[in-house]
Amino acid sequence: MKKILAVILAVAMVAAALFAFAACDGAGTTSKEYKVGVLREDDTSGEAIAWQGYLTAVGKELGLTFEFVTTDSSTSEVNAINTFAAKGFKAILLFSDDDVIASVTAANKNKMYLVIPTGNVNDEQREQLNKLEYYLGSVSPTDDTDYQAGYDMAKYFVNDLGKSVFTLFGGATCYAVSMHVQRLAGILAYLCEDEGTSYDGAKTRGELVGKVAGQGVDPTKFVSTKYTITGYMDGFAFDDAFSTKLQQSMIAGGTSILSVGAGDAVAGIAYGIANAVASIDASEVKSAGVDAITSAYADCFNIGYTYDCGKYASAMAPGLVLLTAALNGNKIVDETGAAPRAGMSYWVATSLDELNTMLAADNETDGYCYNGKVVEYYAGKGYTEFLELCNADFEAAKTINANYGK
Amino acid sequence: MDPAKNNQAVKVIKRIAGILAIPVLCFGIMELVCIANGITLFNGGYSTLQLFLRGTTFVFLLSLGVSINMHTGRFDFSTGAVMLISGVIGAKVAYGLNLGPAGMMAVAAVAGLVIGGLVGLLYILLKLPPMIIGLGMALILEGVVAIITDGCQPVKFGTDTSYYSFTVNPVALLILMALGLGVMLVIFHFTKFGYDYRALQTGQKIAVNTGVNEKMNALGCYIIAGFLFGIAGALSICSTNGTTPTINFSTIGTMFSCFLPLFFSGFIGKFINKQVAILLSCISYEFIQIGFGQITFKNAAFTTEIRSVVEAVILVAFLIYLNNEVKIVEVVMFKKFREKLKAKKIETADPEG
Repeated sequence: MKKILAVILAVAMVAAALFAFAACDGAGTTSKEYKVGVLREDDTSGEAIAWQGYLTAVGKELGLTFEFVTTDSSTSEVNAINTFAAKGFKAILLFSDDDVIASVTAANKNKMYLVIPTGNVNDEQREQLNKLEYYLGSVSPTDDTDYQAGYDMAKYFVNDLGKSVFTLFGGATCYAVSMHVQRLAGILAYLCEDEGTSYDGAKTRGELVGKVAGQGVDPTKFVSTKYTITGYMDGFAFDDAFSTKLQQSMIAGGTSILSVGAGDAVAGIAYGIANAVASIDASEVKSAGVDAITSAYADCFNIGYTYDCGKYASAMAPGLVLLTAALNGNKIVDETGAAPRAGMSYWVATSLDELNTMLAADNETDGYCYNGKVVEYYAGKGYTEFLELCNADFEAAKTINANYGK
Repeated sequence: MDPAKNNQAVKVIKRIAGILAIPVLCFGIMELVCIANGITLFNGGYSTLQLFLRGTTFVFLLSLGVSINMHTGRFDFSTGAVMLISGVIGAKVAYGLNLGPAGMMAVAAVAGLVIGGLVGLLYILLKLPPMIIGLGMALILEGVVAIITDGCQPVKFGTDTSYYSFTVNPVALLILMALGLGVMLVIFHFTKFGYDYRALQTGQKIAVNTGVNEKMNALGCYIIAGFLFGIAGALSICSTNGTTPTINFSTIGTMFSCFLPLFFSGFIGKFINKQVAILLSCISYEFIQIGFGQITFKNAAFTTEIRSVVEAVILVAFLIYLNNEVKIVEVVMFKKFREKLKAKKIETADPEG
């Protein structure tokens, strides 16, 4: 009897070991299938569609199944999280941000991991969130990234295109939306590096942010011996008042149009005006925007769009890395032991060819730049490597793909 | 001078003054404000005039369409959605089949007519309040737009500039305005449908008792409004050289952009035919729009928010005026003071009574 019991126990232990080994099908890979809820407010933009495609495809490689829900309030976010919990979901990707604290708290109560893959929390929020065990962190372009994006855009127009007369579109600067304020300040800061140039007496980043936040730009306060700003617009009402203003600015010579957002809409109207008004040389009209690296912007390059800067489909990878690492029991934390609050680089395309190269390197059909293998690699690493992924520009991203994605 | 002829002349002068008061005031005030800012209202010359005509045409077609249902007590929230879907269908079909901007207007007009008819059909079949039908249809139509555009992808015309050029072509714009005005004048002033409409407008119960089919009339109203919205929607998309559709009630605000001209027309309409009054109101409104554009170009302190507030103040001030017209006229004309003075004079002249 003892012998039979010993044999049964031995067989059971071998079987258990076999199952355990079978479950471990590679270093860093999630050990089983997990369901992840995605909460978002925007489900229609080019970015939103590109990200959905990325998560769905790369999720398959990682054993993650994503379910997308569109929310429009804090209450609907919390309700959706509770519903996901009841359905056995293991984690949440939070794109919407009506009330981050409420959403993360709800997820934490349900013992669901939560990542904010395209937004950052402020200091006060971070302090509260770091006390929650299941909060994994946030990744998004920071103020520095946005400032640099505006700065680089102006630099490209001055240095590479030899432009000096500008029309500026400030998007939501009038509402003091930080990312647009920083981008606009970046544009002005580059121009103000010229000795004879200042805006309302300001030259440095801090001063310029203070001048434009909630106010926009007054071209008459822009003093320069080298550059001219002929017109400034903001808000998103592309009505006749907007067209009138843009047209006047272009007639006054401001045919280099720098936008901090909605660059495609501004480029479309500018293209129409350029071809309808005889006094404007249509070939001189060049526009730019901090928007997104998606196929929706390819057409814009044919109508004067010259510079596209923004997030890309694989921009979701850092968020997935945080999630995959936690599911594998290897939670990534920063140097203080807290959930990361990381920045992220934009990719920049200055021609249709460049944009197409980026799209070819990062799409559903041909494969994503940060595919499942890349995510698995970084999920098995620490915070330093994680930041390397977050801060990669397109060239660095190609190297990462070549090294870890094949 | 013959007192009868004199009275007639005064009446004509009053009428002309009433018709032109708002356009002249809007032009004058905006011109003065522009000059104060170191610019003129039509700075930019012909190119500004083109934008002025485009804006007038758009808001005129929109105002005509909205007025049809609004003046019979139906508040249709699906206006913007009908415009969007018609414009998108027009753009997709015309650009795809190389029909050009005129073809796009025609396709959008037909699409608007059909979709407007569908909204009207639902209204008379479901017997729900027009606001509910409008809200529901706005959501449904926006959803259909999302499907048509493959998830709200941008609708564009590539490098084809003919669509934008059409919207700044004065002849094309005048034809569109004439078409809108002609359709409205003929249908509402020279057909049984128009007589029935006005009968229903002034007294529904009596009109129905005299044999007017109010359901068919309502359906007709939605169809005509849809036709006008279709053209307005196409014009709107062409004037921004394409559009990126948005959903979740994003189209509802569109109809409110014609409220100021419609309220203006409430005043001008006392002196002239309703449709012509709407046209003059839209011209007045466009003076304000172009003026705002010019002022903000010259004066950065006049921001988008300030502009919104100024526009809202004008709207509220005009509503206050419309609702207190008699009292305001009395105050302005010192009517009571003059009456008292007159009474005093009579008393002084005849103290015995």
